Amino acid sequence: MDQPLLNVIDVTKQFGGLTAVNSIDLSIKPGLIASLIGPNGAGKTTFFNCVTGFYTPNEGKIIFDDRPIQGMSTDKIAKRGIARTYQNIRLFGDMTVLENILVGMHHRLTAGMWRPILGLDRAEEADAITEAIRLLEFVGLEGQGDYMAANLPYGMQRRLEIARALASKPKLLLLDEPTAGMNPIETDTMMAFIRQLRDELGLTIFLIEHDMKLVMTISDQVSVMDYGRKIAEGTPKEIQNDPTVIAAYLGTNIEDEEMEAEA
Amino acid sequence: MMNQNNLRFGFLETNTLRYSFYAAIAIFILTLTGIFGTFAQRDVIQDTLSLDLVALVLVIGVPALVAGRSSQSDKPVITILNSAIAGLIAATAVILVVLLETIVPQEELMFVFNNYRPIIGGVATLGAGQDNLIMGILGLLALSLILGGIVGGILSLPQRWMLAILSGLGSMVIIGLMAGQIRNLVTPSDALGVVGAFVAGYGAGYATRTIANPWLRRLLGFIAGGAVGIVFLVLGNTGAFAQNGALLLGGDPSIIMGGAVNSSLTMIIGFGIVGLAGLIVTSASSFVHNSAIFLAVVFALLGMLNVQQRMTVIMAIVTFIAFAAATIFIPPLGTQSNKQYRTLSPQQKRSIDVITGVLALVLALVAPVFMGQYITNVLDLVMLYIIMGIGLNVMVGYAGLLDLGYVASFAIGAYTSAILTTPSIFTTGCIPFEPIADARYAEMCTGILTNWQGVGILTFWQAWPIAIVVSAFTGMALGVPVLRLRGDYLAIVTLGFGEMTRVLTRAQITAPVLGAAQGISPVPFPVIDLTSLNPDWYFELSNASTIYYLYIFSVLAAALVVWRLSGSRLGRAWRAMKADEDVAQAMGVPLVRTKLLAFGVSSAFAGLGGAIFAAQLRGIFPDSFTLLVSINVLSLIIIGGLGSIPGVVVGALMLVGLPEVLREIQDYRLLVFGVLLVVVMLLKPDGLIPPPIRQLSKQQKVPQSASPQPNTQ
Repeated sequence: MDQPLLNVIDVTKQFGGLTAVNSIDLSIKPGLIASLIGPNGAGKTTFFNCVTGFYTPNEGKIIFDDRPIQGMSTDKIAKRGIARTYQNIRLFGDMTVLENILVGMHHRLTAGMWRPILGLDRAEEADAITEAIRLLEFVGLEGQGDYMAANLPYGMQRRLEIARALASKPKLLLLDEPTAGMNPIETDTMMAFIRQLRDELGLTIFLIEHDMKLVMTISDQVSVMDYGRKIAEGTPKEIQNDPTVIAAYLGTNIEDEEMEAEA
Repeated sequence: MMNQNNLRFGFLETNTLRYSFYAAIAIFILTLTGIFGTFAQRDVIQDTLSLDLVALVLVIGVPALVAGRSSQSDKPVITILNSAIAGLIAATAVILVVLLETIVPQEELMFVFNNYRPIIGGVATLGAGQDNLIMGILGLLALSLILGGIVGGILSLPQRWMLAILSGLGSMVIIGLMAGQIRNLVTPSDALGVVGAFVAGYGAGYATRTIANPWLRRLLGFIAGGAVGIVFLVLGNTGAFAQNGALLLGGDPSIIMGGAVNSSLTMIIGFGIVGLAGLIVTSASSFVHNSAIFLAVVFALLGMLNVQQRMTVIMAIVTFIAFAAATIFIPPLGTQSNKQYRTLSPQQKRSIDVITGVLALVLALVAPVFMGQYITNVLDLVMLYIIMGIGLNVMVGYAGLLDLGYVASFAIGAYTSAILTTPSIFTTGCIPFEPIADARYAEMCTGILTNWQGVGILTFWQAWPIAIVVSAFTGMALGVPVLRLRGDYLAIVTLGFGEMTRVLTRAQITAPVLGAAQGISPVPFPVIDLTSLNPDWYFELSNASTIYYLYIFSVLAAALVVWRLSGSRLGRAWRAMKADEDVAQAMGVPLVRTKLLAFGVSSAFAGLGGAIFAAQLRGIFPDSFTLLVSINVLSLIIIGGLGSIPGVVVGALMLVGLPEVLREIQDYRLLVFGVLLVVVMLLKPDGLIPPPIRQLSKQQKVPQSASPQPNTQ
């Protein structure tokens, strides 16, 4: 078996007296699509923030690609190969679509201050723009490169956010609710797209999602969080039949009848 | 148009009430601070239109303009009514002051408001005195209604006509106020000749459209201009101009034929170049085309002003017609030239761009010959602020770090350069309190004997880069403690840095080095000494016209550097950081490095400007480095458009150049600042010239290097 790409060992994050993430262990093998589910407020996004370095965990270790990354700044972690998208889209609104992607390439480009001043960064810039345009085509935004990011329609903004994350050539892509606010058809397209990312680019994908149909269809591995703890982990089938998971969902979120029906 | 919740009471819109209420408060204060009294002595048009009347019209017209512009109605009637009411409300503010004057004794008013001058009997009451005050007040109310209505009517005209009228009136007032300073800039014969050559070239541009070879066309344009030059030369030599080349109509002797140009060949070539410029603009981008023609119009008007010597009624009418017509007719021509420009191949576009750039540079270089000391001095100041504006834009416009202490870097650059270049008793061998035995030292030691500050070991050229580097590094050093601060917090701390710098320069404790209130002087002027190449090549940059070249070189360098940076990896990182610091970092942008580079680059430009400033003033004093400098620079980049380099130029011309030229409003500078900021922010929230959107994907299709098969037709 492969070494896990991401190995989280006993990570805890506290805010004052509140324990948002409580000694979580989790590992993801390369090439998998892993999902993290759980009721609202379970600590999923906080956990993402710990992995990407936005928060420093109070305890525990995060091993990525065989090296510890906990406590490193987000830019260094991005450089190691973790890229992410956000639950509420956070693009650089007053920059163009292409410029957003070029920012995603930041750590792969080398020009500092002097080379642009002397005009010596042109070849690198031209290559970067070519690659960015190719990336736009890949996510289905061809021809939109010169629009302001803020002016794109919602669905395209989601794709752009993923393209920006892809621009850093990550090994692990974290998607925080990639289908939030999408209708069933858009969700299906997104699902196919996530598969395509894994199959064509060989990415490992870790996503937070509320859409159970999507989670159960594309995930190789599902982890469930509730009140900061991991309460279950396994294949979609195992999770669907897990009594703790059903209890957690029914106890906190009655609306989720889909789970019940499928169980 | 601007506000979706613009509720209406009948025809009246809330925006109208809101803006005219703000305006009324401003006008109340303006009137109490004596704006009408101060302006009463000054004429805009000789014996016809005085400045206080212009002020009254503006006071009523600007609120009417803003109200009319923000009106959401498509019906002209409603726009006109709203404008009229805004004008009426604005006028009531003036009337309140009039009433106040009838109640409160003048001395008491003047005791509280130092600048207050009685306004009854002036324009505010339309000349009516105490005895028929009611008539005066009613008259003003009627006038405000009519005037507001007229403004509303102008606003309801098609856009181009509206702009034409506004630009005509505006330039009439501005040229009228500047008349004293600019009446001797361009002589009539020079104006006729140069504009003639330009028109000849422009005509040639249209006539030769069918010719495919661009260089042949350019040659023809050059010949057309040169021919005009020959005609003027012949006319001049045969006495068609009175003496020294002055026109028979009057005016000053020609600068070109009279002095500056001393050979007929140079003159013909000069006119040829003007002709070439005329031809080039017929297939240049509309911006280049329009500004060139606009410049030609100004040149022609200056020639006429030289004959008239004053803003006479006829001059005013001609000015109005010229600018209004220019506003109407130039843009369509510009569209045509732009169409031509767009059909060109990339290589041809490039060659047009290069030629335009070279011509603009030549124009900038010969400008001081025409402009005279005073205008050049003002331009020097404007350019100083352009340099600082470009620098501060890196911090505020790109990186989004609000810096209110920019003056600190400016001061550090100025003091560093001054200390390094100013000779003092320590380094010259001039000994104080002892008679100077050696006559050789006598001259040199004058002024230095009392001067304890400065080490004076370097020339300006050696000290300049050091000043830039010192500014950059202190900027970065100041950046370190504030790395984690954002927005308002950062603004407050940087404000503190600015004040600390000023206090330190005044303090007794630093006096041995920085000279406290006396500052450091005499700072030597830069000298270009190329006598080793040619015995004549010794230039002292000791006055406005020569230091001008230093400024213009610096402006170009600063603009180039910042333009390059803004489109680079670093510039994108800055802008991403401005948009969302956390996300930028998560995308791999190292915040510390990127922020410190913004501090450093930004401060470097302040230092660059500071060093020239010290050399230009021949001395530096703490009073030059007040908070006002920081605020000026910040205001001008906001008005111009954050992150836009042309915006900085326009902002500096408006906020630094105009008040300097219109001496009358000097006292009201801050008020004008405030009003201008509010009006610009209301009408153009992104500034006058917002930064361009970089069309990267189009840029990509144009090959950067020479393409394998050249595609000229």
